[in-house]
Amino acid sequence: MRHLPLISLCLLAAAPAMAETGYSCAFTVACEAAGDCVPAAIEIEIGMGEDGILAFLEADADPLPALSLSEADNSPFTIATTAPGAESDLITIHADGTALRSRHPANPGSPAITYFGICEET
Amino acid sequence: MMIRRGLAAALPFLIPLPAMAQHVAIERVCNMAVICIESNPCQDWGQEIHITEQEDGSWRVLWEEDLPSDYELAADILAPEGSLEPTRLRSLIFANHETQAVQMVSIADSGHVVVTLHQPQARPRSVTGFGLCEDVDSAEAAE
Repeated sequence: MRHLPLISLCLLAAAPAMAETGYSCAFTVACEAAGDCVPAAIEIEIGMGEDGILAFLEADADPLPALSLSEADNSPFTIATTAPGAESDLITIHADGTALRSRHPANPGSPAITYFGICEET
Repeated sequence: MMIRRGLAAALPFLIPLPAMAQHVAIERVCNMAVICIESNPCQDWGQEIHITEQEDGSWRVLWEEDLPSDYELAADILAPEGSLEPTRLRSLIFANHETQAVQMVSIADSGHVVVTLHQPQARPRSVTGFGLCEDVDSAEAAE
């Protein structure tokens, strides 16, 4: 009898992790269009749950809904998202974990940038 | 097909509602002046592309006559209220199901255009080009 509540607790505790998977990415090189490539330290998270795909591009900003451009359960994984008023983003994660993030800023004074990095499944 | 369904489902989240009501036909000719291949130094390009918004709100980006040209509007970032510059940016997406390559073309009302290609199954894996666009009417008038 004492086993039943324990089992229930385990199921409850596991539920959020099962509902939300995704990627944790670290980009270490940034290449500006028409500029040089420089070291970078940009971390983003991508969450996939019942509500779709969310991109966490900034630590202190709201998550952004993202559009999947790849077949389900298939590598490579590619999404597009938009930071309102700021930029469009295209992110591709390859089967080996290497990743690209390209930003097209709305501000005409800011150049397009592609970041190179690595993502891990979470 | 699945991607198209996904696009349709996600578009309302990506496009601000006021922009959906606007269906102004656009026809621009763009000179892609520079190409940047992965982390290599950028180089002169000189590729010409044509970007068109149809009356029904669909978009075409024409590179060559025999290449696919139907693109989906994925983002419409309006200029901030009171903006001194025409900074509206529209991003168009083409996803090739066979090669798994995805291309994003962003055009600004200022005339700037940026194209990024992610092609996971080929080398180089990323290419970005940029340039300037003109409305076809004004480009023809200048000739």
